Amino acid sequence: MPAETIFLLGATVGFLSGVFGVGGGFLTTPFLIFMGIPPAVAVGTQANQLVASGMSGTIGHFKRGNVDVKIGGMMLCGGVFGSFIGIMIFRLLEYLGQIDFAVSMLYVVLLSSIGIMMLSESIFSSFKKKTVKSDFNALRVNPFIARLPYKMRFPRSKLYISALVPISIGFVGGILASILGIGGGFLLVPAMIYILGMPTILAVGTSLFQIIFTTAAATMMHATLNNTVDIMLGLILIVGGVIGSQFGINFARVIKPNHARIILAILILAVSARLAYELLVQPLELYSTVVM
Amino acid sequence: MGRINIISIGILCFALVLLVSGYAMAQKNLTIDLASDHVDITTGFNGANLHLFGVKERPGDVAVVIRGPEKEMTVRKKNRMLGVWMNTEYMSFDDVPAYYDYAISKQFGFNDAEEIMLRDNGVGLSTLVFEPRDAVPDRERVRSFQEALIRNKQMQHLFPLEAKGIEFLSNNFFRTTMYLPANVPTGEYVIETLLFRAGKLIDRSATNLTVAPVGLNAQIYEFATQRSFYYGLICVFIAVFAGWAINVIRNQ
Repeated sequence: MPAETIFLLGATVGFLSGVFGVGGGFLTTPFLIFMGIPPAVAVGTQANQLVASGMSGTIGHFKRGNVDVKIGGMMLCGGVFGSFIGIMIFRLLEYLGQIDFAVSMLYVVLLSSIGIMMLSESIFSSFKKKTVKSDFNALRVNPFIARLPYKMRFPRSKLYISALVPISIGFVGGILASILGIGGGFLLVPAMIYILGMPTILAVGTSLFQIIFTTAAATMMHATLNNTVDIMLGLILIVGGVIGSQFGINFARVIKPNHARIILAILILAVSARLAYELLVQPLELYSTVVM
Repeated sequence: MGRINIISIGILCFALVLLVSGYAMAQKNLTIDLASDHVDITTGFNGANLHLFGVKERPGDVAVVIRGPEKEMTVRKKNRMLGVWMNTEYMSFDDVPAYYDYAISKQFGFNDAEEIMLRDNGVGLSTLVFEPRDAVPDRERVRSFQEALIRNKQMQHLFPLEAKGIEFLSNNFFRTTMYLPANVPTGEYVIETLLFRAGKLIDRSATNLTVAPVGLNAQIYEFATQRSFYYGLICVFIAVFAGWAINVIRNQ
């Protein structure tokens, strides 16, 4: 695989993440797979790259005090355990010869639901004016969650809830990181806001903070159990990403945020459609070989 | 007296036979050499030509066969399940060479004896028939998987579509060139050269070729597989450092 192509991919995804303020892992992995990199290597390497982007994102949030270390700590406990379970599922699927299928299928489900959600939200928000919501504890905590045991105080987020909730959210994040090679911010942040009741700004910072540890654990396990972390590939993606995101940040100042979101939604839907097409249309070659 | 004579003539004859056969053994009918006995997979490796030279001392045709290390391969077949295409059938084959290619000085007009001799010595696509590891009664199904294995290997340029030619630079001096693609599997390769005439094998000669990663890539690969825990730690450390560096660059 030529290094230039990988660099361009990193730069493109970096550009997009600069424009839209997303991690971009959910775009890098499918593109690596489109380019012919084995899904196992794509996911393992992507987990490694996410450590870098999580780290760079967290430093900024940490300086501004937007990280709830206590909730983050709970989440990363669940996240590390989730990574372990995810890697086991990954290995099982690989052994069964279903990993390509499973990764594509999960991406189709995830990307199409995010894409549709973003698109409808952007279209509606351009018609109606945004209602102003108070940032803190805007939602009432679900009675089921309120009844869970092991309650703890989280002073930074002004919450008093069961520790099981952040642990479970982190656990789901860990599974996503190790099977799909994504930080899962787009899923974790809404979960932290709506289920935990965290303020948005703290949710973003804390999610990034725990992503560092979850993806680090996923990287370690992919490296030791599967040998699927390619540091050269990862470094090229990181460097490409840094350069791309600089252009992206500048570009983001020029376009309207809502337009940017519509473009991103369409892009996500296009990637999802491409993956779905490959699953639905009869392949030219039904047989494939693999060295055991 | 007569008896001693017979014995001494016998000994003489025996010595002569030894001498002649010894001479014949020392004088090879076939000598081959590779331009290089190793192929280095470097970072930018994009495939390599492999030149083989040879001299034959006796008239006849020449065949060259190159084989990569043997591996266990699994062939999977996709079927439509609930509207999507997924792998549902598989068959495993033992001892499939990771790479196979061959060249032959005579491209057509083989007689039966020659064809049998070539097949017995592993020359040609028809010798690439692998039996599934687990006995499968349905021969038709086995055949479709066997064919799919060859077809997939051919698409990856690891098995040939047809025989390559052998170029004669003089009556006895020949040369052939094989191409190892960018995705060539690493390992020990064996290159065998056969000299045959009228359906009979006259001589054979083999040489080895090492296909191995070299340089930085090789060192990283070795470290990643031998000391995977430390490799993982270093990967995480590099990423953490890179993340920090990105932040420093951004703030300036």
